[in-house]
Amino acid sequence: MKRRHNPILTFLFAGLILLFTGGPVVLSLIGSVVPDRILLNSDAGLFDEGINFETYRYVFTGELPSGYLTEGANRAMISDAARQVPRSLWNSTVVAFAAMVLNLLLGAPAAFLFARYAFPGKKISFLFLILSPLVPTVALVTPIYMSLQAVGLVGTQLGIILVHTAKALPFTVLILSVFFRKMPAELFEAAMLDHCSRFQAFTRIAVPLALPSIGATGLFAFMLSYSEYMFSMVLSGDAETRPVSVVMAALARNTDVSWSLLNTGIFIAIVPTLLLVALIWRFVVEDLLGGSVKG
Amino acid sequence: MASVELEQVSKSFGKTEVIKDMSLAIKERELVVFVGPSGCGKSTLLRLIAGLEEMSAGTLRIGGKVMNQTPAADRGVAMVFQSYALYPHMTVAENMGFALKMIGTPRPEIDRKVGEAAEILDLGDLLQRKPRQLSGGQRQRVAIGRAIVRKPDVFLFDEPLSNLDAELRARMRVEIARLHKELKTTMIYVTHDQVEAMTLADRIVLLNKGRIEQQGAPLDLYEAPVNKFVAGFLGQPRMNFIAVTAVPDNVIGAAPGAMTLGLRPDAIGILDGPRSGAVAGRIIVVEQLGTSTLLHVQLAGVADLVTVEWRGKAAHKAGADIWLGLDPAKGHLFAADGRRLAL
Repeated sequence: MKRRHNPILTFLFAGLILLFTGGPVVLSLIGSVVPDRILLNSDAGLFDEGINFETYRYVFTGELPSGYLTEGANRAMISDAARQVPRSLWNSTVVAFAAMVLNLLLGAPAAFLFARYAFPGKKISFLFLILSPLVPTVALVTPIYMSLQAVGLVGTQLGIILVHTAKALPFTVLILSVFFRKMPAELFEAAMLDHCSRFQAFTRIAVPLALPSIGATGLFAFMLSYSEYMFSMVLSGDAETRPVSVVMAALARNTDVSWSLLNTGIFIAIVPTLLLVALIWRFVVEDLLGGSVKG
Repeated sequence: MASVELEQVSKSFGKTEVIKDMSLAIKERELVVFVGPSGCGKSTLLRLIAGLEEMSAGTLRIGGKVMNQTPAADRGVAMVFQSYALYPHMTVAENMGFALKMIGTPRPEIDRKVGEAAEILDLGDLLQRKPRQLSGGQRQRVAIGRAIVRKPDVFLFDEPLSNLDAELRARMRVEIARLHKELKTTMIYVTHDQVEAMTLADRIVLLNKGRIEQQGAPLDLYEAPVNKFVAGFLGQPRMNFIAVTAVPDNVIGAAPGAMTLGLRPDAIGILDGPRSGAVAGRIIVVEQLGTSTLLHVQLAGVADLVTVEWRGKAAHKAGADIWLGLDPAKGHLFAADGRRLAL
């Protein structure tokens, strides 16, 4: 069959998708560099005063934007929560990165075992693992809070890391086990004849071959943790441990909040994930295209 | 090099018995080919010897030592897989040296041994390539090279040529035969291709439904098959089977009831006209092979087409009538249960 290909349709759909996914990012970027007095004034052109980084300066240094230094300005619009964004960004990055690493350290070997070996209780434990995300998060908040309180982990980053790891782990195991199952059995038999133990077959054969999927799965775990709100809110303590999702919620809850400041917070919050995607994605895609097992 | 002995070996997967109470002795330096139709248990048998499957019963000895509980890596065997099973993320050199690296062989020694094997297989220029940059034949050679580097007592080949095209298969067949002469190692070779079996083997072990039907030198099996199955399996084109009835007072009349006459395509004569002993038929299909011609002939009262191999490029046409000379003395006679009857 002849493959029909319409470049105009392709561009149209690609453009639509880009508009929906990239549009909000661009809007928040624009909103963050245009002062409130322009944003809220329908008569003024968007870039009449050019762009300024006052809100960014406030977030990082605490220096008030000039517009709010004049008398009669509504200071309430400048939320204190915005000052917590840089710290929370770091907190979230640490938590999400740790959850990602733990997910891969625990999930990849588990997925390999589920994919390649038979053991008693395999089916039931896999089913349990896969179905566990179906339990509503809200139902788990209280028991998990009490469990973590009992071991003194409420208000600590470690507590949030453990919960986020547990939340992403079913997906990590499911996705990676599919990839490990697709690898030809003969590769591992050859490894066995080449004096590899099971663990060595995993580290020397399975992991290098699954790197693209491991990268993608890790990214998924990172993003899941980075954007998680419910547990982050309940388990985080003071501003020192608060993740960005909680700070952003606090910022947005202020009904008087400066639009410019809110947009600044949003844009800054996206940056770590963008960086990680840029770093990992290239290698994920390159390896997916270049490293086929069958060749 | 080492001998391989199987003693009353059985293997079941669940309730399915794949290998049934099998005993077999393979001598040092022998090249034994396991051949049989798919599902006959030949690959399972090889995997039992390799240690990739556990035996349900019986004893396996390699070099005189019982290996039942010995892990695959410590049996002194190397295996060449049908899909080559090269590690895609390693270069050719790394693939070949991997086993040595895993047992802690020093780097210079690995390099030397890989270099030697590469020379034998003419892989020198490819050592830094990844498997995906190689052709099918090159990958096959790397897979063999990986086995050679380990200096095994026994080489195991699991249908190593079935993924190659016909021309390359013929070339690699010669290569493996040459390798066997050069390395002087015990080799066990599994194939479903009877041409490979006939050309490579010192000894053929013909398997069917988990049992050994017959074993021996290729020509012995070809010329003196013990039953209809062996006769039908070996030989290309396949032997013709024609149902016959015993005639009283005939030399072959000893067994009562229906019998089968087996005639190889080259044992059937083409006669130039009706005469005594000639059987009339009609040519349905003509296949020109160059050096010979295959005629597929419909005989009255015979369900299957009879294949006749004619040495030469005779001008036989499809649709024409033909007279064939079927001489029982040139073929084999099989009883109703498939057993070969002495003529």
